[in-house]
Amino acid sequence: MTDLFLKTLNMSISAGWIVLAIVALRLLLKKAPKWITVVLWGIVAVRLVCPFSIESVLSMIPSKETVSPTIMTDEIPAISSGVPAINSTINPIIEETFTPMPGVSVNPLQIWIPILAAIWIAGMVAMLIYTVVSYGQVRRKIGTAVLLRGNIFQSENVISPFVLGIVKPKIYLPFQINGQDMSHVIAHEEAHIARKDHLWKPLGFLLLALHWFNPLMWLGYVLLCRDIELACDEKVIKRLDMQEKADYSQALLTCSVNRRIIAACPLAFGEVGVKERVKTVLKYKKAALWVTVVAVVLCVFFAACTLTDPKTENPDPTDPELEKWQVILMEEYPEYFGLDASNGLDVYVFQLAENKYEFALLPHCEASPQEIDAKLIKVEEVPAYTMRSILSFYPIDKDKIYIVPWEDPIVPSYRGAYWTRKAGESEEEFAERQADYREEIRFLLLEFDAEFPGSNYCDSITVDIDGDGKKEMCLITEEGVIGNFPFYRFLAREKGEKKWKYDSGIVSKHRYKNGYIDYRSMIFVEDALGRMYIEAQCQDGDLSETRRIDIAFAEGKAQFYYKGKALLGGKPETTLMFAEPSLSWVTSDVPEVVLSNRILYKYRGVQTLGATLEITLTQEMLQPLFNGYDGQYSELAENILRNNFRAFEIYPEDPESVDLYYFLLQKDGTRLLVYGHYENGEKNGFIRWIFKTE
Amino acid sequence: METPKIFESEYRFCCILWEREPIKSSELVRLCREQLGWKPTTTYTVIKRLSERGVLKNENTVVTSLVSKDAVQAAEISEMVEKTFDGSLPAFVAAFTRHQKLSDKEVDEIQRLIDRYRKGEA
Repeated sequence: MTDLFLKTLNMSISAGWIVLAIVALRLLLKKAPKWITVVLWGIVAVRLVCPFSIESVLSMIPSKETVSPTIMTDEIPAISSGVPAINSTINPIIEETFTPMPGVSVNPLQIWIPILAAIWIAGMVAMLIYTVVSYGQVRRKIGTAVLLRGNIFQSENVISPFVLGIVKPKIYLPFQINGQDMSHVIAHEEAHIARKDHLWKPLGFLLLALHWFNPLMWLGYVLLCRDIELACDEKVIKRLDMQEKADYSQALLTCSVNRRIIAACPLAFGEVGVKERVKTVLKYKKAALWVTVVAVVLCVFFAACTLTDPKTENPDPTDPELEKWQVILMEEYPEYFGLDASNGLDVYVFQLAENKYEFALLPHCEASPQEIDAKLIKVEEVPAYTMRSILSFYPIDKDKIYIVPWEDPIVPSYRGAYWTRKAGESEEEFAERQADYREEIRFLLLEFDAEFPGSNYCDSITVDIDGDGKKEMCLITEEGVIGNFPFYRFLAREKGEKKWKYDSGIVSKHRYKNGYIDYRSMIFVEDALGRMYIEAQCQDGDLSETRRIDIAFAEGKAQFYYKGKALLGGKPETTLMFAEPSLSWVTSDVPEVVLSNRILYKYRGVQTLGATLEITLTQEMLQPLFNGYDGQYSELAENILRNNFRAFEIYPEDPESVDLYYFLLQKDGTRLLVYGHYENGEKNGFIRWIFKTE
Repeated sequence: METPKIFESEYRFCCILWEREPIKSSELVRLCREQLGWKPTTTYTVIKRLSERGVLKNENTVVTSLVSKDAVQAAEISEMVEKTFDGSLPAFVAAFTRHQKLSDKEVDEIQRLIDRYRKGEA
């Protein structure tokens, strides 16, 4: 039911725009035959009745779907009326009033909209009842109407002549009417019948019942009734000479003012005042042919504009296929949509700081820097993920997206390495470095998301990292956060290649004092000697410092190193399976244990980690999994306990060591290495990772 | 006894009755259909109504009038119309014009317009 209500609401809004347009158009059509105006109202009716429509570039409708059918369940309810001014006025109010509070399960709209739908039905039913009842009343009154001739009747209960009946319309006249007036009245009513007004008016009223909540529909119906009357008058007096026109006017006057009747009703709606009608009749001049032709053409054009929906070539905000975030994006940055991308697109890159970029977009053009600055000032700079989303709307070849590093026209830019030639660098080398930079940005914008969904880009650099004479594009990504601590990953691939040559897997930790510290950020930096290293920020309790992390290679594999010691890492498992590729860990602490891509593990190696002692596995030992990380691993812990076959604790050789190891054999043969550390010298360990070993 | 009042439509009905009475009701129904365009139910309703008002009597399906043509007071007709008609037509009915509130001044003004036009001063 609410679905129907929202659909009707949207149709009503679309039709409302047309009504406004017709109101304006009527002024233009004053000199044209009135029947044309009536046809225009027919267009509104079509729009209200036909739920589907064709798309065309001519469409004047601002929006096909102002209220989304999913508005009740959207996180941020909003309307898309197709008119930015309206959206920006109404949406903040909706957002404030109706956005569900996090934690509260019900979106207030889920309560309000069904209520509104119920009110709509109630109003519609009320109007239908009125229709049926009043129709019945009229019918009753004319039950004893006496036949005059043909389909014309007279009754003492009729004061104002009218037409009644859908299938076999009959004309009803009062008894007291003189012959002359009568002939004109009959002519008028017969004209109504010929024009099928006895059908259009009730039909229009039924549509009105459906859309009673829309004041513009009432306006439309009122004007429709007026135009029908005037069109009818026109049809009759077309064939009358001057005297007859005067007689017709007389009939109008007489029938409107029956002095024997005291009770008079005020001008009901849709009524044209007698004075206006008489004036119109007396002033009538047949419209010139060209006027009629022009008016008809205008009508046809108008129909094309209003019966069709806006084309979805440039993304259509009312396209139900679009997701909410896409629509919001289109409304926040309208300057980036619908651009002419036939020659390609230029993405302007502004580097604000060491690792901070902002982007702007313009259609590809060759213009002077001043001209480009003038254009850039008019658009808003956006971060990478936003520009990425915007670019996804343009179905153009990636080759036609040009990366253009630029200096912000307003804010003084960070003049990074891109802009400055290094000492000793040749022209060619400089150009190549700049090209590499642009490739990194291109990768960030166009490929990163697809390749590393869910990860964040931290930094990239193009340099020969492994000394093989070929440059690699190196990448640091942030791979998600457990608690407060991000995990990093280093990747590198040779320029021009698609496959990653090196992949460190996920790394974050380094031993510090009695525990481990985590890194908060990592970026590539070049030292004075031109060597690349990583600058990492550590923050953990009382420790806050910047560290130099190197990338080194052991056995052809890349590894983070700090002061000669390799950084360990890994991610706690929820499904007991490593999803991502990881590297071969070679640590000086446990030379015999090789944890490689699928955690190949040598049983003997466990003993060299330390002494093993068989224990009884208790819930207490796995408590951190039950408690920590918002209980997301409690199921895992339960499974481990339940399937436990044998459990061993491993005591590292170094008595100062805070490493915590359990080696668990499960009933189904799975072997787990549980790795953690002791905090503050407490024997209650903190479980960090669980490796499934094979 | 005071002459009962009858509506114009009922008057037309009575004309047929006065012409053909005494007449079987079924025959009356047929004639009303032909001349007045009435449905059979309408005719029977009118017969019943008028018999209640003492205008006619219906005995064993034979209808005879109780009031003569001359005695009927046609002058009462307009009075009845005023009382019964509530003056409003539903919005969705196509009409010639609805009864409107116009002051005498306005009526005269419009009349003048028409008269001037007639004289060719339009």
